[in-house]
Amino acid sequence: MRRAALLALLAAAAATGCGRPGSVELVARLVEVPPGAIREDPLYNYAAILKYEVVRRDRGPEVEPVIYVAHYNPRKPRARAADRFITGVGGTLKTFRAGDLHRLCLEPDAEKWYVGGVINFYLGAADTIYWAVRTDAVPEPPAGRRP
Amino acid sequence: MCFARWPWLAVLPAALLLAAGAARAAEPEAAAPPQTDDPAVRRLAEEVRDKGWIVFAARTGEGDWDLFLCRPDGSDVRDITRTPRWNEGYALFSRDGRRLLFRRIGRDESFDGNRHGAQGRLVLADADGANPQVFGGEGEFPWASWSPDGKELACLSADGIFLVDVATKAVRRTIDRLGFFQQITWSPDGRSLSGVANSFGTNWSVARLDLAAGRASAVHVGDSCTPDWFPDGRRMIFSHKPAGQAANNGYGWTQLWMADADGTNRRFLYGEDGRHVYGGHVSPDSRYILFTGNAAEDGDAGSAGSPMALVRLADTPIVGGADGDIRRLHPDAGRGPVLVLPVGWEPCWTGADLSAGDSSGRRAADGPAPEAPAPEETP
Repeated sequence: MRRAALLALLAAAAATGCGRPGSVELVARLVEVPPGAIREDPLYNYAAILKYEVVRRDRGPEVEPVIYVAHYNPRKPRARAADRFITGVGGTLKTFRAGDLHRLCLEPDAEKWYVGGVINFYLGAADTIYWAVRTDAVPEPPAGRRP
Repeated sequence: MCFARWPWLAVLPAALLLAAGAARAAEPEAAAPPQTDDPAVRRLAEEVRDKGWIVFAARTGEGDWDLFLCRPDGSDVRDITRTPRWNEGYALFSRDGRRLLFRRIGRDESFDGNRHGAQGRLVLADADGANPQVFGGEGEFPWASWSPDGKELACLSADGIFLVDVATKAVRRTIDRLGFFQQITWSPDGRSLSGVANSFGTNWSVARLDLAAGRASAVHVGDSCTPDWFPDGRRMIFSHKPAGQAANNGYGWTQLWMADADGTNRRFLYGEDGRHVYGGHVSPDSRYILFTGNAAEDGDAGSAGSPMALVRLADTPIVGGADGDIRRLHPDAGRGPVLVLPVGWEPCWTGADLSAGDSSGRRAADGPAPEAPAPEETP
């Protein structure tokens, strides 16, 4: 029953679509938001590295069960994260909350996509930091049916 | 990043303002440094007056941003770009003081305090602003910095750090950027680059890249930026916001620090309760430090702006302004003298003699600098 609920949830997530940018597309759960990772400082447009547990990969090469993702301007809703310097990022997610499911369209090696300040509480934890091109909110299944 | 208006201009009759319009166009809006009765400050001003020239960006009376030269005491201010269609910033003298590089953006754009080295087009010119030549297209040759001999530029992009031959624009070498993301500066001995990097701490650090080994090392970890070299190539000056400051609603104030290039012998140089201090630059004889900063930490692109200032290295540590948290942290620090200079952004100092021009804002040799046409081709 739980598995059926999860599959239905993931199917719904796939139906919302990412517009399919990025070379990797997956659904993952945000493990935590370290204190200080998302600064309410309007002067700085930086990227924060956040940790995810991968629930399902839909497209692209294999990924580790735990991945680290750079999100640009994380204090802003994804639809308003892009600016005159960093374009091509977006999504429906409004706020980063630990435990939430996200549908992520990613590019490996964030350094190839982003030149700017990074807040990273996971320094050295992974060889690959992914760059979040699109981050969509995924509705939670009914209580007790979390994947 | 912006500059204060002369406050007394507001009370002048409009007719006088109109009559003065042509003259104002050749001067930054706050060209005259504040006068002082402090004899120690006057001695400092006399001491540095003939020690070369400072280039800086400032808003003109016409509202655009130009590059200006002044003497290190703030006198003899002259506009060296005079381009009302464009804004100029991020000016760097070559180490021999013969050349100048800067970024040029459209008049309607504004420089961003964290992106200015990559904005618009790179322009190379003589040190007095003569013969400006647009070197690349929009966004090309980002964060350019002169090699010690002025024959190459080090640039930084997502693809890496690349060393470019000035004469041919050919890329001579590409190096992994290893987390560096802004403000790279080639060391005077040619062996290293300094810059701001993500690779060493939770957030941005001042770091050094060994060019021969292609290896990066931290100089100062965390909340550190705007590094520059001492002329000996063995020490660096940089801005740092120490953690745990209660002032400014717990945000604290950014201060000037220095360290050896290997990260040792770190020490506080200058801070102010009430202003973030940035853009530290060391005089060619290593005896003085030049800086700017503002209260909002944004370079003040849209409002009042902030004056540059200069102190003797031998007089540091200095806590300027009213006593507060920084004074409590450094109770034995001096109070000055601090020579306040015209309002300006990202100053750079050369010991070269650029005094051939007059002081009216017009270059003596060839009149007003022409506005270089936008290039149709890119390298």
